[in-house]
Amino acid sequence: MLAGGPERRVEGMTPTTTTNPAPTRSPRLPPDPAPVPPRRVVAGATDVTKVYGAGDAAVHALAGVTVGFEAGRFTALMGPSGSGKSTLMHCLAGLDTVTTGVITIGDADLATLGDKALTRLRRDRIGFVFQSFNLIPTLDALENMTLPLSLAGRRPDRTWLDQVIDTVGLRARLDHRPSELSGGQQQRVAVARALVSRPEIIFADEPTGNLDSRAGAEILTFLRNAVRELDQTVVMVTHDPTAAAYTDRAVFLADGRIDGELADPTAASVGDHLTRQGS
Amino acid sequence: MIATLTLRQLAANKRRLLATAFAVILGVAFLSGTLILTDTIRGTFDSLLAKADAGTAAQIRATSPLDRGYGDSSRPIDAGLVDTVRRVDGVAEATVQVSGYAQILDGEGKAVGSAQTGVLGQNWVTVPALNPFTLDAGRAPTGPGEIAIDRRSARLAGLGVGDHTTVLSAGEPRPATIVGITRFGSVDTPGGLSVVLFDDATAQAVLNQPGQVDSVAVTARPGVSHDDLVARLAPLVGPGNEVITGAALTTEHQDDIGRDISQFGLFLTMFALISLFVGAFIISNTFSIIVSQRTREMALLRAVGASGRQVRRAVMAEAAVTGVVASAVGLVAGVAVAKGLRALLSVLGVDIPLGTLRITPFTAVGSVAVGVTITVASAVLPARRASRVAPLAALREVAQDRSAVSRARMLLGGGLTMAAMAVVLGGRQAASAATVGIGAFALLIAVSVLGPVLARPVAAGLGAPVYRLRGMPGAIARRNAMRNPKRTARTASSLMIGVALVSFLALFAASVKSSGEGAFRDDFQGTVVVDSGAIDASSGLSPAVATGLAARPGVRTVTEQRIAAVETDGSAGFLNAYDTATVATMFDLGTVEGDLSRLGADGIAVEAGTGPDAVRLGDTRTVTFPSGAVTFTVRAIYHHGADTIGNRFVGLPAFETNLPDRLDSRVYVDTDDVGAVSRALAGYPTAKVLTTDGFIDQQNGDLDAVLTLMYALLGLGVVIALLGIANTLALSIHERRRELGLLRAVGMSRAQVRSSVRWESAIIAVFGTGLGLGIGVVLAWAMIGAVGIGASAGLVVPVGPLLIVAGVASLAGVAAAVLPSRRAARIDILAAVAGA
Ligand SMILES: Nc1ncnc2c1ncn2[C@@H]1O[C@H](COP(=O)(O)OP(=O)(O)OP(=O)(O)O)[C@@H](O)[C@H]1O
Ligand SMILES: [Mg+2]
Repeated sequence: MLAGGPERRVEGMTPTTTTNPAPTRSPRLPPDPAPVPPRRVVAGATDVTKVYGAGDAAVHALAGVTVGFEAGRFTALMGPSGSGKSTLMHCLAGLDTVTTGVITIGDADLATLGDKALTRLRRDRIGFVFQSFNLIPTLDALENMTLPLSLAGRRPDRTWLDQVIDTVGLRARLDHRPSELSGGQQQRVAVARALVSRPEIIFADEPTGNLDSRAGAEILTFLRNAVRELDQTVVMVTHDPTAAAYTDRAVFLADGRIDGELADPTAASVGDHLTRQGS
Repeated sequence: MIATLTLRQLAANKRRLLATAFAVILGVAFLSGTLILTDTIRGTFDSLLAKADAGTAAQIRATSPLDRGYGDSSRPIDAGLVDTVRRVDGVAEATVQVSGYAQILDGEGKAVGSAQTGVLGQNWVTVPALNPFTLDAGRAPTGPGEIAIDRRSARLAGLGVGDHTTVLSAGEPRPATIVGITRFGSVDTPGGLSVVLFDDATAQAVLNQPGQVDSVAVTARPGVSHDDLVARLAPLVGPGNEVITGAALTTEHQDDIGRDISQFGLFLTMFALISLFVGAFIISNTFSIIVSQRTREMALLRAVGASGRQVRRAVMAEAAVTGVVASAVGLVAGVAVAKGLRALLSVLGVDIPLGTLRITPFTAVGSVAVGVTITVASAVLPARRASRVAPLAALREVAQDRSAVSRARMLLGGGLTMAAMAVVLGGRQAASAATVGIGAFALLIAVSVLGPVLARPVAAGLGAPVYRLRGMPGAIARRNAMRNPKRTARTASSLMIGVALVSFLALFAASVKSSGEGAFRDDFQGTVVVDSGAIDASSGLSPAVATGLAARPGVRTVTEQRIAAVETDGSAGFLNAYDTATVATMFDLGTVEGDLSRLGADGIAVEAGTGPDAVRLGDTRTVTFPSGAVTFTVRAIYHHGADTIGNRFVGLPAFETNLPDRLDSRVYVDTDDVGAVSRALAGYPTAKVLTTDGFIDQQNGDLDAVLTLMYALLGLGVVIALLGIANTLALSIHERRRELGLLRAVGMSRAQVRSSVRWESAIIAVFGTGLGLGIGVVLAWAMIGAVGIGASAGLVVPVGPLLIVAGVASLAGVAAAVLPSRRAARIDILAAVAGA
């Protein structure tokens, strides 16, 4: 990893995996003048099922999930492999459709939206970070960050953009193509892209899955900072109790159902929960 | 093992190989269709002619130093010979044969048939064994007022037995009654020819002179061999005449028609080969893309122990199988193409009998061999690249066709381009059209080699306004067009070839027209051209037309023009004969040295030349007519007007002495009353009365008709190129499906995805079109210089038509993107994002 200013800062902030302090709820910094009621649900699933295939071969990836994600919070979505985490996230993000049940983003019922409206919703109101292949290879870092805005034909808010760039610490790499960036840097660009358009909610599916622990910690710190300092809302799928410790809340899935949740999770409490789940 | 792999790959890549297969199928179908058609036509004529001449044991005719056309005679012979030969032992029956120009009018007074489709007058031979015609209805013509006509003409003109008509010939128009309708062997008429048949005496009077015939044919008594008969007849035929066997006559006729068919076949084959050449780029492109998309897989094979050679073999085998299958399909499709072409020809008036199509082993093996060779050859480079895949590549991230442009390519491409340009320029300098042609081919290849060097900067430049115009989708289109310079270049190259050839033709034709038009306006001093449309001496206008016009009040000058195919000083070409008394008044010949009025029957007028081409009065020229070689003396030298009247001509007496036919191809008139000329010629429907403007329009129209045909034939190459663009895009989209899924996930709308693909296609198409236009301009300029078209006119750039070519090609590029762009827009976001 290159030793840049932000990285040093991160290093200082990165807790060792075991002594990760339980993050405390930070006082909300309201840069938004609009009187947003606290704990407004940004994204919600009600009695959602998702069935792949039919008959004997049917797989119930989601078997009746009801869950809400509140504004200004960082939530971890956890559970064993195949429990339906990605499926739920894709449904929440308008990338996939549910078999039954209702998905809402803000006050929009996704089932009522056509492809055009869904695309616009993803572009303007949702941010994404995938596990890998997050960036368009032909666009440089800055272009990738501003991609959703460019697609909308809008110019980025300069001060916000600068703030995001500095937060992710990529000022020196803005004109680099993804192939010229390390895996960690690529994920940071992806996080920046998710932030730049100021979406109502950011979904991240195992964003640190392909990174070493140090690069992973950076990303997690950014996400947490985005929530704490930039007042964003983030839902993150992860297998890693250490990663979950960065969040405000951990929601557990098992066999397509909600299987409990933890407030202010720590690596230890998540570990406990997962152990109990496994038994 | 590798064989299994090849088959699996083929199965897995059916869709991707489809375009390759299609390019091969189209090219091979075109090629084999052409060959099948020409073989069929040749076969049909061969058997028709063999049957027509089957009864002929021997023919007596005048000798000729030139190849003769079907039915042409070099010089008439004495009709009395028929009585002489009839008495020869071994001769069963004998007949005279007379042929010449005759044409009838339909019920509305319009001419039946034309100089282009062929018109022929002959005598009705009363000896059935010597008569190729048979009566379909009515009876044989007897007496001066009766004729028989072919069934096709009867059908087209709506004429039947008992109808009255007018016969046009070298003499005055004459009334006639149709008493018979004929067929020629199994067909209504050979090759669309319009035939008029008279009795022997009338044929001599109308087509020749009484007492003069073109030939005499005999049948043999049983047991007398044709060779024996020829030997017995030879001493009797007199000097300047010869006897040949019927078999030799048949061969001569077959060869004569075969030459025309071969030329026609060659013309079509050229376009088929162009299509295959364009196809080669697509095939090579497809295999390159497939190889690069499979890099990981191949690397894995290498890692587990496959040799580079085995990997290469697998790719080559895939190409070979594709080539064989596609060529075989192409061959079958060729039958349909042949049928289509035959239908097209019969619409154009060339009736080809509906026999079975002939697929010779040469056609079958040749077409498939060409198809397979092109496919395999196009896969050689991609296969070599495949064999060089390092086993390590299996471990790398998605390896795409990230072909960097090498310095070697830059040097090689640049060098080749310079060399090709040098050949082209040299060809222009040396006035050698063939050299320019070779240079043109080399230039197309050289620019294809250089293409990848140009692709990136050009795509960047072309894409810049798209970026500004279309925002992010435009930017993505631009980057995608730039990302694989080789792919972009190969795709554009196939379009480049078609556009280069089309624009070359457009430019060349425009210059030909403009210089011809300029010269004619400059040189022609009269006001009216009476044109027969005749392209040689076998048809034309009766000299009575000119005589009649000259006698009319208000007509100042009349000049006749006749054309004959001859050899001058050993080289074949057309020779003009003009009215020497008036030609210098009708045309601006500049300074004339010597005396045109003294040309007589053995004088020739020649354009002034310089240097090695300098001529002096008293020089000689040898003109070989069908009847023999004649030495002409240069008695006049003119300094102007050669573009219009030709660079040498003789007087009418020279033709009358040496040629049997006396028909005017054109009559030029100087008068103020065009209407009076039209009225005077009302009885001659083959005579088109044209003003200077009208004549130029007609000349241009004739050229346009040929051009349209050539554009249509080149169109196939362009269609193949567009197919290539569509295929490349489809393959690229398949390769970029994750990227597209990601774009869709972060909010790119379907419309934006489609727009992006369309713009990428447009950039590639404009790139190819631009290169093609550039090459077309250079080649046209060089070719015009080489063939020396009106030095004054030079290169005429028809901006309008070129813009149309550019616009159509570019739009077609966008059209080619329609399906791929839809596929791109429909991509499954989740599957794409999930990877694999
Ligand atoms: N396209 C599909 N077709 C059929 N079954 C599917 C499909 N996608 C997911 N599934 C099934 O749905 C269930 C839930 O899958 P999902 O990807 O949501 O799991 P996950 O919790 O994200 O697992 P992981 O932690 O391994 O990513 C699994 O049993 C999976 O096999
Ligand atoms: Mg998952």
